Amino acid sequence: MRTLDAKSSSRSGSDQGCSPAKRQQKIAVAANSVETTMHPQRSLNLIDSIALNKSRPRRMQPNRARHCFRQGLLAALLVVAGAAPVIASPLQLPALVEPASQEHHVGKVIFVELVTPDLAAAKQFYAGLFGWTFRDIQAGGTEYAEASLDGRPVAGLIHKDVPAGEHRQPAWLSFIAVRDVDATKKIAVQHGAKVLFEPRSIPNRGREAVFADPQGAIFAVLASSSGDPPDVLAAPGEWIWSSLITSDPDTDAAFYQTLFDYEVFDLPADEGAQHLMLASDNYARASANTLPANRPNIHPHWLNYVHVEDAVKMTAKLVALGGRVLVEPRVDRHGGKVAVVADPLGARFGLLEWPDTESKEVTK
Amino acid sequence: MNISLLRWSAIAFVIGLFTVLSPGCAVYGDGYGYDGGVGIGLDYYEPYGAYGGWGPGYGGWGPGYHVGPFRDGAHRPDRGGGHPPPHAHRSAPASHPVPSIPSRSRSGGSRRH
Repeated sequence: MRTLDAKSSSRSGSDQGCSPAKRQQKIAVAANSVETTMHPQRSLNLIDSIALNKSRPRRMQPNRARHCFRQGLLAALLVVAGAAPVIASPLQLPALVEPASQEHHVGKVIFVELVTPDLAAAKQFYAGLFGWTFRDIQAGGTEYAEASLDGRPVAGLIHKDVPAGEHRQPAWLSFIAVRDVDATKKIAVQHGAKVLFEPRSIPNRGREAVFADPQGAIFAVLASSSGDPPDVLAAPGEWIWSSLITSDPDTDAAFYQTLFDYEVFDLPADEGAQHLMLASDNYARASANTLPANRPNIHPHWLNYVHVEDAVKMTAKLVALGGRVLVEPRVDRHGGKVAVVADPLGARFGLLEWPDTESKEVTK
Repeated sequence: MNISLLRWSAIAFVIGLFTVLSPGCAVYGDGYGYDGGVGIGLDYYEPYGAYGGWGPGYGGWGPGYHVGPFRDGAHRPDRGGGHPPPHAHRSAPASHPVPSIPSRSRSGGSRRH
């Protein structure tokens, strides 16, 4: 303090006129000030230590929170990781042909699938109408029912809810046989098709893709990994025929001819309409007809027909089960009756009689 | 107590976040298309009302509107005189009869009802 006293007295000339008591007081204040100036680090450390003491409990909480968050995140990731295989696992569908064969019939409708918002109701309806039985398959968050008749797969039904506030129309989707889905996609796109579902491999089933043709009719292609079903006469309750009802059969036939190498036959039709027959392997595969001019609200579409023995009786049965008749049974070019109907959810399909006489057999 | 609460809050938050955000990863089309987040990804393919839900109902098939296959022994029907009009498709040679559907039964041979 003496040193400080001396320094202070020598530094400040204004102190010279002060009384000894006041001078002493000023010296003491100056000494404190100088001490702070000379040891700033010590002073800050002191402040820090006080602050640390005060904030220590608060700093521990974020650490613990971070720790807890990490634990929570880990737990959540474990839950997600556990659920992910279930959610993301691909749907494993049964093979189309068992035992697998090497048969391939490009251009033939080899399978059909229905997407419906009420799987239980659809199963009940088709079981009652055709005697189909169902095997439920659940995977990848998808409810799928494989429909069979006498042990042979005839269709696939898929449950899908209709999003709230939206209107969606259940529909049967035709799968046409191809050898190479990706090559088919390339050609289809080059000729004006729209890809609705990129080629994808389904375990056991094969590779498939869905397109809209240039007129807007929706169809799928499937390269079955177990081969294509044999070319035999469909039994009652099985799909027997398909037709393409479109705005421009000529252009559409050319499109499908490019894809499936169809042989196209021109048939008589009313004025302003066009009726064609599409064939492959020397078998008729589908007809192509002009959309009726008086139905502008009907879009181009594929229509598949189930073989029935009596279309009139079947339509009556269908109505009793809650279905609707869209085209009453009528005699067609083959001598049997056809009808167009819809299931209770609105999915449309056809009924086709195949009269009780021997049909053409082609020796290949 | 607070730590436990914090832990479970964090877990609930993360799971809730996943639940809320995961549907957003699905790709929804405009009525066609597929759901990207579903295994098989099938969707509804027909525009609503395509079956006559509005306007005139489905049908309108006149007397000559035939959709079925030909039967046994189908010959090439005569479309009327002259050459056929030009087509986008390649027509089958006139010498080819219109084929029918397969007639062989599963057990082999032609089926007789």
